[in-house]
Amino acid sequence: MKTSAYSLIEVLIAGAVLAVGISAAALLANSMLIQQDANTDLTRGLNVQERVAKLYHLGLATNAITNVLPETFSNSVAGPDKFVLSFSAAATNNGIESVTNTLIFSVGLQRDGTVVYRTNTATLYRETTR
Amino acid sequence: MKPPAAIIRQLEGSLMVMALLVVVVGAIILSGWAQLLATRARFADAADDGQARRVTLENARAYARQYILTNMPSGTVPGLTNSSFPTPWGTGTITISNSVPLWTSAYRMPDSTSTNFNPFSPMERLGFYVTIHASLTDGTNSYPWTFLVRSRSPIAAGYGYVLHNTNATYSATNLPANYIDFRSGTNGTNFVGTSTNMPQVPLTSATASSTSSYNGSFQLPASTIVTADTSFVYPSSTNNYGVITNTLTTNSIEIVIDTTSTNPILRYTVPDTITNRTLTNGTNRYTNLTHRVVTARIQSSANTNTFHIIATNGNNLTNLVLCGLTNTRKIYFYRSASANLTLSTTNTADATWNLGMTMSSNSPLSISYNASHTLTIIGGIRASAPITKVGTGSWTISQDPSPGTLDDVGDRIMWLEDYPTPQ
Repeated sequence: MKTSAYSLIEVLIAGAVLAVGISAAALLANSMLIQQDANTDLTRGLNVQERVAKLYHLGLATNAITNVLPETFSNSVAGPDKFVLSFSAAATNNGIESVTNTLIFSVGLQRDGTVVYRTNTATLYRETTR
Repeated sequence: MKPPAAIIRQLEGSLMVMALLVVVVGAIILSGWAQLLATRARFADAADDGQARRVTLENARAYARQYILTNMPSGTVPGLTNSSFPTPWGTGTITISNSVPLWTSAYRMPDSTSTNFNPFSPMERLGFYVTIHASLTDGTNSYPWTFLVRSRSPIAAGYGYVLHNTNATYSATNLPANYIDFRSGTNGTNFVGTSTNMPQVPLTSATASSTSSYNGSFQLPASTIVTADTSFVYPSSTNNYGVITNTLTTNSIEIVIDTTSTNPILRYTVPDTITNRTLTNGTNRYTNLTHRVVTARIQSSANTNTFHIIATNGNNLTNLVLCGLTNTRKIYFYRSASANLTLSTTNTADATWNLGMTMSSNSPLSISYNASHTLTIIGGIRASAPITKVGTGSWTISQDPSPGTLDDVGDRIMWLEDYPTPQ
């Protein structure tokens, strides 16, 4: 009696298809994990800058804002958990005080491990009669 | 015995179905995860845009608040119409629904409820409130916004000289451009409004006199400041915040507020008496006695970023002495007492002082200055009792060019609230 079986070719083809699928999924997963980290860092950085803006609007001196926020700020190179926060000199026009706020923060890693930074700039206004 | 061929085919089919199921489930999980991460990426993009819009809206709100605070006290009604914000990081317009003066009766606080509000308004006989409608833009959408404005301290509003008491007298060589004299019903050249709008009879919380429904008293937070504040730092050798004492006579002392402190804002509450303190200066020392504080000497300072509030409600303090020719730090003096107070100097030349004074009780004020010289007060005096010039010198009052600083700690009664207009 003749019994059915997979030929070697069939097995090889099936294995190749499976390997391609698994490797593609692995690559996709890796890319997505990197992107997920980047999105997390980006959202966090935006939140930090918005809180900086809120504190400025509330009337805090610019040099006091970093003392209020829990994040670690540095003056030069930002790290994965550090932010570089700077303000331009305040200008006053028609009773409105304005500064340009710049925040540099990391937004994840490249494949080679290099930290990618983003520089976000926002112009903030507040009343001088507070 | 070999299994039948049918059974083998069934096993192969089952294995294939199971494999397909595994593949399908895996694909679903993988694609779901991918979708989840894609959504997360879109959220980050949306957060980026949302952050910019929220900051822009807050900028627009700040601009509108400053615009109103700047223009409302001077009543620049036309300027309040359709003011467009100048920058992309804060755009919008302020509009008012009509063109009547903002402090006319239509906006005046009702008489029946005015006791609950500020009894003074530089614009009308009662406090005022105005609702201003604005449209603020976040760069994408526009939002209707409502600003509610209430009365404000006249000094902060730029009225450097306000005499409340209708029976009081005063003397001054040069009044500021903006002043209000309730006594005579006159006002400065820049007073906004007409003579019919002159605040002749401000509401008072005190007992009305027989000749007027207003006796010149007005309610201020000064009494609250004095009673609630415990920040007066008693003299010590290590930390006196610039307050030291000198002995004048038995049981009568003076305090000296010098320039030691560079605190941006510092409040002194001058007590009526000091007890159980060892006085370390002066020729006489008294310990464990009650000393009356009769004189407060304020040393001039070249600081420009300090604001010192001096508050007292004691009748013992009868002399306020300004020492020095030029004082650029801000000093605001509150007093809620009934005894006479003499403002004098130790100078023999022209002097200029940043000084605001609010005398909220019937406490006559005498200003004395040396002959042939002028004391210029940058700020203002608000009083409810006679103000008298003593001596042959002169004194003038000029408007504080930066009342915003005064607004930080002054007796601000103009109140500005804002909120998104319900739709």
